[in-house]
Amino acid sequence: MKSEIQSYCTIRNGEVRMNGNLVFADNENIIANDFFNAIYRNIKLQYAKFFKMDLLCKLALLSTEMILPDNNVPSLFNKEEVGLVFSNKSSSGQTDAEYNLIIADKNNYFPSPSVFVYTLPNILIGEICIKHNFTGESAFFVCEKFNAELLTNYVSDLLRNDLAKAVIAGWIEINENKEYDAFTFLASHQKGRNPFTSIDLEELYRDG
Amino acid sequence: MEEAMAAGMKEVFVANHSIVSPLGFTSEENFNNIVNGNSGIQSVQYSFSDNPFFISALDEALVDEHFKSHASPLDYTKLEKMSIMAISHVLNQSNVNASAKDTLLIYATTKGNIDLLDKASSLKKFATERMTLNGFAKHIAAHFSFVNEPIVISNACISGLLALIVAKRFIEAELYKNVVVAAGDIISEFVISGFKAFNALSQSACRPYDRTRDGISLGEAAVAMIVTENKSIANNPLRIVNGSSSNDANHISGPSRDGNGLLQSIHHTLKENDSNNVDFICAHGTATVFNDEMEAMAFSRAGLEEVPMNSLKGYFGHTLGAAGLLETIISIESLNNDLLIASKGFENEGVSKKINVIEHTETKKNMKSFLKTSSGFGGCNASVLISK
Repeated sequence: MKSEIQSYCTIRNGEVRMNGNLVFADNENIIANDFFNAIYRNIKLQYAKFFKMDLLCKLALLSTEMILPDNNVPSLFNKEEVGLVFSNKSSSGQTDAEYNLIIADKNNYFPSPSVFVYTLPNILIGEICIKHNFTGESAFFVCEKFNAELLTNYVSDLLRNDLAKAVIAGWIEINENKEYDAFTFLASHQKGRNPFTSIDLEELYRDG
Repeated sequence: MEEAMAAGMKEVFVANHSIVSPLGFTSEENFNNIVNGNSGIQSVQYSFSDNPFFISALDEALVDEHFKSHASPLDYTKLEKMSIMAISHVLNQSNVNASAKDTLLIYATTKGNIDLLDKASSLKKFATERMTLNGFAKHIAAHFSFVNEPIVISNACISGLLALIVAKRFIEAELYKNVVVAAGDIISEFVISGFKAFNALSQSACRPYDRTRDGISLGEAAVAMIVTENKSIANNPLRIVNGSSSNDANHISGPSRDGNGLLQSIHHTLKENDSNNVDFICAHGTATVFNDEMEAMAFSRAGLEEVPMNSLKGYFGHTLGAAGLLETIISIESLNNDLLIASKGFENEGVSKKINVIEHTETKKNMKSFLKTSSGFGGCNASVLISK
């Protein structure tokens, strides 16, 4: 059975695009944290945990919210059957650098664990799972650049072999300079918006 | 229909494997040390703390001594050297060609060359690119002339086991014929500090499932394994029957109380009759109060409470991203040698559900299969069933 892309979203350069259309921009706040908080307010999210998250998790949570706008997509599926497959280049590098700065002060060698917990990239999968109660298959890959072939191969495999009924996947990148780039999509067997091949995915990522 | 699909699916085998750890530089040496009850965990004093840490650390001078025959030790980081030795060993033994189009390298790690983050150290001569997980893996891949870009999996403490699952899926999907699955992590001030901040480190060598357990002993290792569709590569080929992952959706740094995530993964990995045929379980067993309790809940709810089980953390410490693959290799040797391995550090049951922790290493003939499980931060869980 073939799977298709149901919806997709990009967050980059102070703009949020849904299925290719600009849905939010804030020229005043294009710096990562300010922009993410502006998106949070714009989509009227009510989720206090958001403010405890590091930038990577904030970005992942927001871009996932965008492709599940009214929360009705996951209700089509059993939450045990929703998979999550994410990737990026810098892993948790931005938070790693921050944690390293904290412990560089040898009087603060054992700080509060609230930063350390975010020094793993797959925490963003955990945060999305907690928010939506998804418990299915998941994986986090680290690649040099957006790897459409890897995501297509792995996500289609999960769907084809019935290991997941729907998969939320994409690229969630924040580097040490807090430059951000997010692309998320939802794929399933339902009739969708775009065909799901690595060529299509590459195009959607590139053109937003 | 599901059966028909399963019947048509390609079989996937684990072949040669290698371990570089404080307990030795080959799988055999590591396994012999474990059978003899030896542990790599020792008390180590660091300048940044008044109290010693109980960790299983590998002396870099010893690594260099072994590495000399591969390349100049000065040109590689500690984890790169350990990884190259493990990968070189499995490639040589199996004659798998790294440069073939149908060979892939998957590397599982939580922190890679994390020691390079300390810019004041003597390691600053290494390119910053190698500080990234991808740059690290590419450097290793280049050493062996892999033609395909390596894939890095960074999924906390299930990384090594998840890499095995991903390798199996790639071979079934006929994307590759052979996958070199490698995994490694080192002990760093960064990681010690973080686990200490969580108050998760033990005051003595860790004691999984024991009543007096008080936390993790960190460890370091690099391991490698050939996963292949070609049964004839290995002397004693074992089959990866099934594997799956599942998320607790409960807490980012604490295991679930009821074991739901691990239980779901076990349910997906074990089909109808499989659970009656599991000869032993090699569990995660970090020796934190909550992890071991969570596992006991999950195994008990899965009806596996009578199955002999162990944690190997008492020998190697918690090797983070390497743990799942390292412990799978020891379990493979355990199956091939008809031995049930004692769960080192365990004396008195300290979990609320009955489980069958192996107290003494003993012979058990005719074993056919084992279940390996891992769990980690981010609420992730994974399990794999491996059979003769």
